[in-house]
Amino acid sequence: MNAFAVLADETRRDIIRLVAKKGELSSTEISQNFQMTPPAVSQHLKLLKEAKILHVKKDAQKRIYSLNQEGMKEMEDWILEIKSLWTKRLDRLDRYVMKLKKENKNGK
Amino acid sequence: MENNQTETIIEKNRVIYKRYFDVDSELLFEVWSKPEHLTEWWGPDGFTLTIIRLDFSIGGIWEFVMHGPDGHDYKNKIQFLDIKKPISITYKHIGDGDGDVDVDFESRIIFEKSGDGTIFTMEQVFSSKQELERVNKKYGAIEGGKQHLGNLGNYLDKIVKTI
Repeated sequence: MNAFAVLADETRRDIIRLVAKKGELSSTEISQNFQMTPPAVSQHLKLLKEAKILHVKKDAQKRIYSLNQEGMKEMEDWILEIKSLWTKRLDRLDRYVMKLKKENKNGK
Repeated sequence: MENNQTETIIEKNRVIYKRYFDVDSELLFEVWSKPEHLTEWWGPDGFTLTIIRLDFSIGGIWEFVMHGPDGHDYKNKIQFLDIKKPISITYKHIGDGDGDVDVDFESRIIFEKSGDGTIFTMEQVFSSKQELERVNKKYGAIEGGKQHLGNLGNYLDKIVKTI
């Protein structure tokens, strides 16, 4: 399951924002913030947990959710790598088109 | 936007790149669409590119291999979703050509005339509708999330090896 696919859903992004703001929340507390049935919220939480975006710990009968830094960092790193690839690629493109432009001017 | 600087914005599940090129948009569009040009710049420094096939048309597939400086080969497959000459190109990554659909993102490139030059904007959206539908169908029946993220990491290693 791709973390980006998990993040592409508006509700799941809202859940992440809520958890990030509060630090720690139980699944019940999360449910209370959404106009959805608890099972529906629970499905979202499951995906967020599997994608390592949220971390869960058990506290008696409660499940407590918090942000999973590891998963967030993996995604961030991945985006940064792609960003770096494209920055280099565009630098090279720039040099290439400038070369073409110069050649055209010289009537080649 | 400074001349010849790539500006990037990262938000939610998208990354936006902006850059000014001091050439007209027709030329810029051409170097994005012709194999003889693409092989000259698509691989970042140190990489070379072999184009297996390139069908630059709506729905067409572009399959290529990037040869890294470390001797590794990175297969890639792209499908063009929309082409408006010389204004924009929209395409999506369909993995490494071996049916790997877990890494899936769409890119939209816009060439905008600005004086004698062109303002280039690219928006990458990670995970497409198809990917979401695929995931939603499996809703609740998905296992091995960790493994998939691992795949993401492996794929990343495959497409980017910092020189």
